[in-house]
Amino acid sequence: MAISVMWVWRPLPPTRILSPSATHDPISREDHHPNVTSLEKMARLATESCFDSVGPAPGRAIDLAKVEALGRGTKYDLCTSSAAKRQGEDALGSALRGGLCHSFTGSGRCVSLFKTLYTNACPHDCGYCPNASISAGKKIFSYDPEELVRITLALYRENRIEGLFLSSGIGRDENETMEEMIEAVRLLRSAHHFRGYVHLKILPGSSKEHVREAMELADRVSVNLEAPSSARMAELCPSKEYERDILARQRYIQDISRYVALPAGQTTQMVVGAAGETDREIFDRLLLEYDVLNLKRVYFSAFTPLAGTAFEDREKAPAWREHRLYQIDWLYRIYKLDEGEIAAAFDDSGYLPDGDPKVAIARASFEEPIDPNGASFAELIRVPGIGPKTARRILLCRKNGRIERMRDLAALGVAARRAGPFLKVGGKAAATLDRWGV
Amino acid sequence: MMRTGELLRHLAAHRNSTDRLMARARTLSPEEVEASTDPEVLRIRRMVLAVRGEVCRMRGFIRLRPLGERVLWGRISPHHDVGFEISDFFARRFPGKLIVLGDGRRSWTSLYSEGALHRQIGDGLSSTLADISRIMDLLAEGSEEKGDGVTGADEKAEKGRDGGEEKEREKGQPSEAREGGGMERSDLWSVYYRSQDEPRKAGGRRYSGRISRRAERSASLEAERGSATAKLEDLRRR
Repeated sequence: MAISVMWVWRPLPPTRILSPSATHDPISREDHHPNVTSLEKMARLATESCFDSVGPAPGRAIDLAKVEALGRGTKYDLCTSSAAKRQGEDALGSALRGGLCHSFTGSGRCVSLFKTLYTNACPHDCGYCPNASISAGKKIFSYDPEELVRITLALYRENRIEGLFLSSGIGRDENETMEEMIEAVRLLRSAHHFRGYVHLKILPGSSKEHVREAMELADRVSVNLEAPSSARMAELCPSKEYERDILARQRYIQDISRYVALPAGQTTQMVVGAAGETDREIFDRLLLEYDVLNLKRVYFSAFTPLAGTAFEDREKAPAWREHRLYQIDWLYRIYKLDEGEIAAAFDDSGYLPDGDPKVAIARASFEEPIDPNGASFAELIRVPGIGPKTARRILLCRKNGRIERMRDLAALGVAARRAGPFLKVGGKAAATLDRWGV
Repeated sequence: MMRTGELLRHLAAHRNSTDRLMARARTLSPEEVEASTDPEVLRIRRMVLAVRGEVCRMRGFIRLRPLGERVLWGRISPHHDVGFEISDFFARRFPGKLIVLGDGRRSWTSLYSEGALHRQIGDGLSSTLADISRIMDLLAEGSEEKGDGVTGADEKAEKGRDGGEEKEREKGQPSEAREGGGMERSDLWSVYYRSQDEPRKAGGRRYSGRISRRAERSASLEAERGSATAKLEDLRRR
């Protein structure tokens, strides 16, 4: 039975754990088998509980053709994490600080959310998109809020998913569709106490009021950029106004996040290789997204020509291009390399070659191998095979003595084969930079 | 950096944990655990990471099934002593539900109710589920005698549904045949999974590199493997 309450983020009361092992951290191995509450008592407590945390059992039949079509519509939408840092939910939050993968596709991509469109009806003519109005043979499907809630809860209860990723075509009108999407999430949160992760797409052209409502309910919201500039957008999708439909909505989210907490932040996504854009153009847009609009992540999706779309005859973008862009994104966002240093990774025509950009940057910045005993944190993280975590471990380890062997570095997490040419350990370098083929 | 309490808890849960390693771990600061190159400290760090990894995988790959209105059960067979860590996690996620996890030999039952976490360890999943069913039936009978038969009736209705599904699955009927009358949850997942699936690529880290055979079996990933595996009846036979 469901209890109707308004959805609010609030800390839950502290948990009392009725077992000896959980009240204290165990200090011996034998302290691991509590046997306190009898099954009879637990069964009685469960029976008496009026709180139904997983909603109603599946009722009327679900149209599986709809589930398939609307699921397929989001196949190229990316949501690689289901982690959220919610205030006051340290003990009982269902979205973890580190995301969980529940399954993987054949290609190795993590499946952690019920990723679906609300409707595949769309008046836009994006050349790459299977939901475009001109797509051949497209059958229109739409959920209603209650139906979407039922499917999400059924999958959540089985632990198939960590939450919901809800995107959509525009439908008849962006605000009408956005309203229904918000209603579905509101039902989940309020009527069914759903504390799982929710990523909600903001449709291009949505009103500021709808953006605010979406942000009050979701862990993460995003508007898809798709292209790095208005000129490229004109090529991808002539009916979308880059500044008004996309960037203005990103600014709405930025404004509202000053007073509405968004636990997993704002993200966006770009199609790579559909409109002839260079990697440098994409990187320049990425800088604006992170520095000006405070985005949490920028995702990339290598263009795949799909049958029935306007771009079906265009060439497929290689998957490695997407991978190299993610490496650049990582160097900027996590390693905090500056724009000037990262520029060394691009070739003269503005593309990234199919090689590790960190190696290209390291070759440009190191004149000779460095000694890990004297190198600063900033120098260490520029060595291929050493990340921020490993660099911190090296600094901690140095407090207790010198590092004289490569295997000690390997024990700290250094990828010795990649880092070797850039390090001088015990007074000598493992190999010269020139010998290390790139 | 690992906190000392968490480190000790996970080290104690490791199947190869010894009193000597526990005593050594108690003397270590978080910095030493993080950055020492001492072989024994490295061993402790690896053991703790192995336990943490198993907890993470179990949380993701376990599949829960209902038994009546108030029980969710799932099969796990962890290497390390992490049963309660997993069952507590789901008990907190689904307050008021009895979470029963285990295999043929062991079971862990957790319930989060009114701010308290209750636990029970058992001798096997099937025997614990049988015990719970029996207790639930008695409670339902008791409430019927008092004139409040709603819970018991619901319980039996749900059991009837589950039993029906099991029988239909055994007949091996295609999912489309049941689409109009009543959907199986596994059909919903299979259909959704297929909509997201992409062919295995050359190079790249493929499906098989992401999830072990053992975890696959434990989670009964039918859609992913393309074949149906464990049912409640199978567990009872073991």
